[in-house]
Amino acid sequence: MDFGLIHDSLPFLLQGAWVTLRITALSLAFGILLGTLVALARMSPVRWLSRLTLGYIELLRGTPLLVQIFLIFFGIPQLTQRQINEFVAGVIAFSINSSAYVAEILRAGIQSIPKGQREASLALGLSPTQTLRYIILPQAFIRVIPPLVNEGIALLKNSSLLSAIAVVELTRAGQLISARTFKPFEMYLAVSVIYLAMTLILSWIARQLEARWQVR
Amino acid sequence: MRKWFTVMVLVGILGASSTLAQSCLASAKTNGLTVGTSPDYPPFESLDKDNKIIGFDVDLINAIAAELGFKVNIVGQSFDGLIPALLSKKIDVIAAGLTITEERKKSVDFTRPYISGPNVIITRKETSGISKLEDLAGKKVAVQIGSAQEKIASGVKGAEVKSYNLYTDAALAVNTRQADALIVHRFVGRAFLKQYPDLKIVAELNQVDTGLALRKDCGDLRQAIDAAIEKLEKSGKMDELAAKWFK
Repeated sequence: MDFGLIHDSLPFLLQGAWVTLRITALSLAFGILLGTLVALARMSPVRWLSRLTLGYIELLRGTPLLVQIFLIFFGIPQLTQRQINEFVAGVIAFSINSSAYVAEILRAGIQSIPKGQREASLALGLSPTQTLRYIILPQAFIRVIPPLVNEGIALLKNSSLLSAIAVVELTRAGQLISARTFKPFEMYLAVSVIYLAMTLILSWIARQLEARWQVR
Repeated sequence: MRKWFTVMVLVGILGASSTLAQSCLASAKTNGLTVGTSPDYPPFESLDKDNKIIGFDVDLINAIAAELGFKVNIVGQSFDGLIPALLSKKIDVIAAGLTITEERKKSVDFTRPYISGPNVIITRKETSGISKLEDLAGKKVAVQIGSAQEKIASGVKGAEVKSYNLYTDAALAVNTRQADALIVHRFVGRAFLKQYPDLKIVAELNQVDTGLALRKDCGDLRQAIDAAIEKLEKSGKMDELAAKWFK
């Protein structure tokens, strides 16, 4: 074991971890925004809209994420004749992919709110949009925090796939050093520990949020 | 009593392991030679229509093995994992168009070089203003992870190095405008040009030697392979292979 190597490469690995965190945060944020719209469209009484979103969700859940990344990274430039930054390509791929999962999580959350809530809100004179905005969604979001955190952790780990399009995130940072030093064991061990630290912190934050909001 | 027992067990283990530890040459003769390569590097190695690994290196290693009476088992894997696989004894030889570098020599032994040639810079035909290494400053330069060319690209001040898992992906990145230039061995570059007619060679760089890599403790095997390569060079077989693949 070459602990000196781990020590020396730590700054570079942490730089990679920062990229991983940024990709995860951005993709989760866009994924939740987009996913909310998709969830609403999925539950829409307009039949073609609901069918269309079902197709969207199935397409994204039924194809490998790596393939989606390659489709966007190599495909968009081929179609548009323009370069697309690999970080941006990664965030686009992950946001779209994540929106499908988030949509299903949210749909489950929204449907778990008892019908009486909606009926009461309408009876009190709130419009259907207001009901959704002020009554249903806030409650649904709190219920879906645990599965959303799971989605965030999955995103964080899956971001290692972006190494294939040369984004120097945490996994790629480790690969680059191990390709130079021929010491994969030390590098991937260090990389694993950093991933674990990030996911543990993420679940800890989630538990804090849950505890805080559950009380109210 | 117990102490003696431990000592005897230890002696037994040491004795057994020393008889097990055959020389690399003897092991290759009895068990065959496991050769690692990364088939994304035509014409050194690539996959044919039936996903069989073909190329100069494959023919070379087969000719060497025929010369020495070995059986050969060629395994394809990721390029950056080749040297770790060699060091952890998963493979016995690397035949992957590997450039002989001082840095790699610290970890592995190379055979005598079997081919020499320059690296080249490749861009799209529409790209202008790149005619030497320094022109890559501020450009995205595509290479393979762990390659000697990655090292060259990293040495260019201001160049943004993009390391891909496969060399074919690096070429694709330039072709699809995801990168501005590719640094690659000339022979491989020519093979890519056939595939991507919109690319062109804009500069020739340093001359490099290519060799097979072995573990440092396999000196006897390396000497045998060196002798076989020399024989192939003298008999004209090497020129024949080069003409077949590098023309």
